[in-house]
Amino acid sequence: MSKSYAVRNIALCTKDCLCLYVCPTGAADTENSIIDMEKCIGCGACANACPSRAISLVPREFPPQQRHDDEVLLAMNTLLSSKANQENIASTIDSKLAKAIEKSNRIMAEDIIREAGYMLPQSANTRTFLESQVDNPDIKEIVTELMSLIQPNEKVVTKEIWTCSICGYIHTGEMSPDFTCPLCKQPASAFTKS
Amino acid sequence: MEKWKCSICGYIHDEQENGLFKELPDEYVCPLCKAEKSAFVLVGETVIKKETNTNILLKEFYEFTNLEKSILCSNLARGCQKQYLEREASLFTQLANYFHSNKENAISNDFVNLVSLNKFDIDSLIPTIEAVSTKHNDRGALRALAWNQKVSMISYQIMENYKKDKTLENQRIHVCTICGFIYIGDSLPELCPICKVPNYKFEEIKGGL
Ligand code: SF4
Ligand code: SF4
Repeated sequence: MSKSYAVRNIALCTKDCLCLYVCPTGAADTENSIIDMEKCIGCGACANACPSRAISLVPREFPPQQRHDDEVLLAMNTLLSSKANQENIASTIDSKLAKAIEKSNRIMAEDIIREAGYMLPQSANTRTFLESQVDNPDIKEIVTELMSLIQPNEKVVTKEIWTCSICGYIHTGEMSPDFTCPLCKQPASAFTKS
Repeated sequence: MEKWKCSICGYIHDEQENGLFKELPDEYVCPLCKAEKSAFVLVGETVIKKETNTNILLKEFYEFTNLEKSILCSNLARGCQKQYLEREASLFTQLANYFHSNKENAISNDFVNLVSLNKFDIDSLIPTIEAVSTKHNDRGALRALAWNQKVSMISYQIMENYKKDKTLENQRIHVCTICGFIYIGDSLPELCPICKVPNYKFEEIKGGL
């Protein structure tokens, strides 16, 4: 399957229909204006032909995002919390200006949280967040559907915790079959996961 | 003849075209972002950065509140929209609304507190985080902080003006949906002075009056 596929922004499309002429697979020719991503081979001919710049090529898989240092993340979260507080205060004040301030703080906070590791819906962070919400009965259905629709683009590391049943040594991370307890030399089978 | 530049949005007041800067009234504000006259600096002059206090205790441990979860989800909904993932976007929006309807009580409902929190961000919090991000050479964070700082400063100015003149909000109010810049008045700048998107990305705030 091609690395990317074409998407038409319907709001920009002027229906000049050049894309239909150039597409080698007929992927652009659909009755609902949505380019058929199964047929599309990502050649980009339609995007080049489009006079309205209505077509862009979207990667099928996004690369993992740049990592931020933990210290930066904590700092950004502090600002997030301040902007969230201001959004909240503004929401209690009955005036048009307060509404604008509420909105403005929301937009700033979204920008901050994006740079604090939540840019991509496909990221491991997003996945971990969704997993942490799946036990909430109010939103279980929504969260489950999202988890089935969105394929993570990086490995989600959930830290496993294993305890040696003989000496109590704690091992974090994966447990391989040839692991032996560094303290009491018991095999992996002596460990229980919590 | 001199040129004066707004230190917030970069607007240039050229004395050749617009008359002597010093002769402008004290109430003069930047036509683009409405910053005070004192925010203007002479072009060519170096701006000396204020010393800032960087000894702010940053949070040690972080768990999101419901309101923050709502922000996280509305952000992810936008992320999905950019990728044309309509269904996913609508699900994240539903989550954002769910968390929003369960949000914590506001720590205050007072305009004065709003202003002082905002002022704290401008003077202390954002400069501190900038220092941390500079240390780690985190350009993404620095970009977001630069926008946040400017938008916060403009909002501060607007709230100060509002304290003196409540009729200010009878004018049209727009918010830039990309960076949060608030514009009051009819003659919208073509590009957002902060993040430079075209003004069709602005959203008009309705209601009140
Ligand atoms: S070429 Fe562009 S404007 Fe024309 S129909 Fe295709 S997408 Fe629309
Ligand atoms: S990228 Fe190529 S195959 Fe895909 S829709 Fe455009 S022209 Fe057709």
